[in-house]
Amino acid sequence: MLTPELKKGSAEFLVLSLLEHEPRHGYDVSKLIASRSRGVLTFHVASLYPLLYRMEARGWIRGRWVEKAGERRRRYYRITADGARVLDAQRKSWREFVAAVTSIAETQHA
Amino acid sequence: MPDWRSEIRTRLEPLALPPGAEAELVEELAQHLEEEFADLAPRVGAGDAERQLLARLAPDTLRDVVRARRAARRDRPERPVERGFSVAALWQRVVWDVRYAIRRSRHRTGFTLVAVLSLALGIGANTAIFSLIDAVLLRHPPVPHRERVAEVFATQPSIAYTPFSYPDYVAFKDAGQGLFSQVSVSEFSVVPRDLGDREQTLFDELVNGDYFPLLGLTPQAGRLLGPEDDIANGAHAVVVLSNEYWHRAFAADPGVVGRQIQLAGRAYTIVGVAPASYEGSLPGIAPALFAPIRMINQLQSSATDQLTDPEFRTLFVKVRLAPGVSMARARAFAASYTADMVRRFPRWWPGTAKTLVVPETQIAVSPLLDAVVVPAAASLMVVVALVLLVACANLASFLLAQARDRQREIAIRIALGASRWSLVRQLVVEALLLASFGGAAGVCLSRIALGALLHADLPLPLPITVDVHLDVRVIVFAVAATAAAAVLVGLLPALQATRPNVVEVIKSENTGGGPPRHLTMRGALVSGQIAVSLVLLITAALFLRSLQEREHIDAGFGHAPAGVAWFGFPSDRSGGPRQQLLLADIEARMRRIAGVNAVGVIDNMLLSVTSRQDAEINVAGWQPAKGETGFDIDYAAIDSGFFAAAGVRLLRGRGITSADDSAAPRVAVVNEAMAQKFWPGEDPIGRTFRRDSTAYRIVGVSQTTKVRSLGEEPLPFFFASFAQNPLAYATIVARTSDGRAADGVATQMIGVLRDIEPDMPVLQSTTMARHLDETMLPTRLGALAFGLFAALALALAMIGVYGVVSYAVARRAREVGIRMALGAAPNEVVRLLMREGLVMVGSGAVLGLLCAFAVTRVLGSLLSGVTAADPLAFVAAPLLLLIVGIAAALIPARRSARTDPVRVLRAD
Repeated sequence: MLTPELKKGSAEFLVLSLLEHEPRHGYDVSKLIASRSRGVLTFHVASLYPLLYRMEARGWIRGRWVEKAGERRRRYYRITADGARVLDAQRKSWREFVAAVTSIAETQHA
Repeated sequence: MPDWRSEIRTRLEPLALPPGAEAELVEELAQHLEEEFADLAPRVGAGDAERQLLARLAPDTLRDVVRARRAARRDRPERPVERGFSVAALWQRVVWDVRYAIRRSRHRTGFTLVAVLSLALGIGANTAIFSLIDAVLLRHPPVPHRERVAEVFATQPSIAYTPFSYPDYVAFKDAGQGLFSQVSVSEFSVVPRDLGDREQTLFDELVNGDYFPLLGLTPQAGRLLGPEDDIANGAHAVVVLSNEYWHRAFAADPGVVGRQIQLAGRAYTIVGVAPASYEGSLPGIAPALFAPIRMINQLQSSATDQLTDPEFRTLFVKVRLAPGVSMARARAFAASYTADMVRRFPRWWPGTAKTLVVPETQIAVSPLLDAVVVPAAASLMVVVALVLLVACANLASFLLAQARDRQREIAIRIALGASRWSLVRQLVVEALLLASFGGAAGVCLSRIALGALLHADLPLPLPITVDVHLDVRVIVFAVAATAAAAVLVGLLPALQATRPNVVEVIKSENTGGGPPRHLTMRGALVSGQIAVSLVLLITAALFLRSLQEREHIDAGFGHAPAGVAWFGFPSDRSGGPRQQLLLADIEARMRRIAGVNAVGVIDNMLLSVTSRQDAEINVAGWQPAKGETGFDIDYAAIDSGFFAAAGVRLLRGRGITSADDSAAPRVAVVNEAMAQKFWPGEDPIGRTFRRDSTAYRIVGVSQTTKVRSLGEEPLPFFFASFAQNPLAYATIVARTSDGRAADGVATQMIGVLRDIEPDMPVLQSTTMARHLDETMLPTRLGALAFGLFAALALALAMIGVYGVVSYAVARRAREVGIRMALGAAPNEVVRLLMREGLVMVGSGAVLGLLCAFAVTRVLGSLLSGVTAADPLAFVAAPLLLLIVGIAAALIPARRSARTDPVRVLRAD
């Protein structure tokens, strides 16, 4: 289980990654986070939606009511151009961070 | 499973969210919980799953959700845009609105086409008329300090704004030394240019040396005329070409300066080309060239010296005030000048004469024409504005209907956080887009219409060149008309549709029934359209009736087909026996043209739009009006053949004969109107009247013909003998037995004149029918313009009635279905549906009739032969409108009554 601080900092990064290739609705996002992290990360109604709305307010993602054939109307979130830029930047700094941690850890082992 | 929606709603209640926002939030969260419950229940059991999930809906956490949601809503109407009111942000929003509008209009091709077309017609009509007004009234040459320039006219009680004679001008200029920087004169005339194989009639402006310096123009090429071209009479054979003629005849060749052209049998050197910005003193009548006024006797043949004859009042005088001289001082000078002239030349300057100094800034075309041209232009402008108004009302009522149908969409968007302003902006942008397309198409239409008009073979007395190019003013006007149309068309429906009653709309799935709210607003719009159309229709009907009456007015001559030619005698044979010999030769040869059976000559053709000739006479026993020295009576000099050639009937006595030559006593044939004026109840034959010192004996009485215009009251008039009153120019009439041959005869007449004397100036040839048509032109054009615009307005109004009724019918489809399912007969349904349409048509018609009564009062002076309250126009026009209105209501109503009630009811 991650500490709340770490979770909060990485949550936006996770949501952006999930929305990178296709728009998803809120429940879909929460399920994917839970399953891909094998239960390490969980978002509930009370934590997920404030996050989504805040990201929307910043213009990183955009929510829209969509009616698909045979399904009910639901709100889908898609990544915006700004969001894609943020994701790129976060991914880069994440890689640098991981690389730094890895190199330190490997030096210790040697 | 719990009802998640009501659970969430209960918890949100203390937060008092706006209803629209709450609905969306509840929906999204409830969906999430439903699915999570469905996943969780099989694993932990329904009871536990419910407890777990409910625990997550604590008020604090929900408050967090709502706060985040509010933050998101505040700056997100549709998609993220830049915040604040920067230009960039506004631009971004507008671009987005335009894209949305284009998407929407693509889905509604039919509506878009109708909308664009009706706006195009409305804006096109406005732009076309405005282009004409701009060209004739508004465009002024770039004269520096126009406020320091004034036009000067003499005036007498009978004739306002009389031009000056050359001696008058010389006296004015001499007396006004020091007051004016420049005193310019100009006169318009027609001059034949010899092109070798044929002659071209050119319009020219004769000017003095101050003319171009006063205007302060820069030549396109060479130089303009100046004081050096204003020294000695007949000694300045130079011309300046107008820019238009330089392009037309010389392909804008810069090497034209120094070349010579043949005018009226003499070579003139081209010394320069006028700038494109200057088209002569009278807008609309652009001269081909400017020549020195000192050459007037050489360019324009006349029996007298036009530079000394005080009766030749043809010069337009303009002054530029010297520095420090006020307009008031110029006026005071004009008054003292007049007093001086009255004292010195009482014969030409009656005691009632005045000299008017009219500032250039107060003149549209010319004081002579402004009284007619300005009201005519204003009324045309009003008419086309009405057409545009009808088109706008039409579209507004369509958009209103659409806005009503879109109300649910709009309500949801408001709920999602769109501000009312952004929605109004969106709807107005949509209208603006339609209007822009309409405006662009309208400008194209106006170019086409004007092109057609200016190239039409109108029977104009002068070659008129109106430059109607798109200048800044016309473009600004078109853009303004388009913007006004967009606001008219878009704003009202937008404000209506975005009224903040969101919840009610979302809640009600309104599928019809009950009185549709906006029908009243649309009804008012349609009634207004009908009213405006009716006013136009009645006006058009009046003009058509007036035209019809005029077509039936008997001019009193010209019933038989004939050729008519205007020509001048060569200067070496002007006046005297040599002129008579030449005339006899011309007439004899014309009689030999196949089909010609009568030939005659007149010096000033009856019903000539451009010329008038009168004489001051005195009759024994008749006292002239106070301040006058005699009676001004129109007259013309003719030869023995004219009555037969032109078909003027002699009632008593004899006509002019070849015996009435210069050696014989002066004779005259008076018309019936003159006989009745001066000798009522008596036989005027044998009586005399005096013209100056000469006595004229009346030898016959002719039928009264029209002299100046077809609409005139019988005008006293007399015919004198051409041999006794020779002029240097004349009109010859050759009557033929075959109407189809008249055109050929007119052409052959020119050939005859050329054969006899290659140098003879021939001004124009035409047929009698075409000559008479010239006088009909203003009424014909009026009838045509009003008819066209009225037809346009009627068509637009009918589209409006049709649209509003079929919309009403569609909205009531369910009601109609129920009524028919319950046994209502189709006829009853039709009646029910038509009532709505007919109420609109009827109320519009009543309103229109009232307006038309008021409007046509003003038009009375433009009409002849019909009263402004012509019963035929006032019955026929509303009747036509009513028939079309009924048809527009009947067709959709019947279609609705034929539909299968079951299908309509099932459609829900």
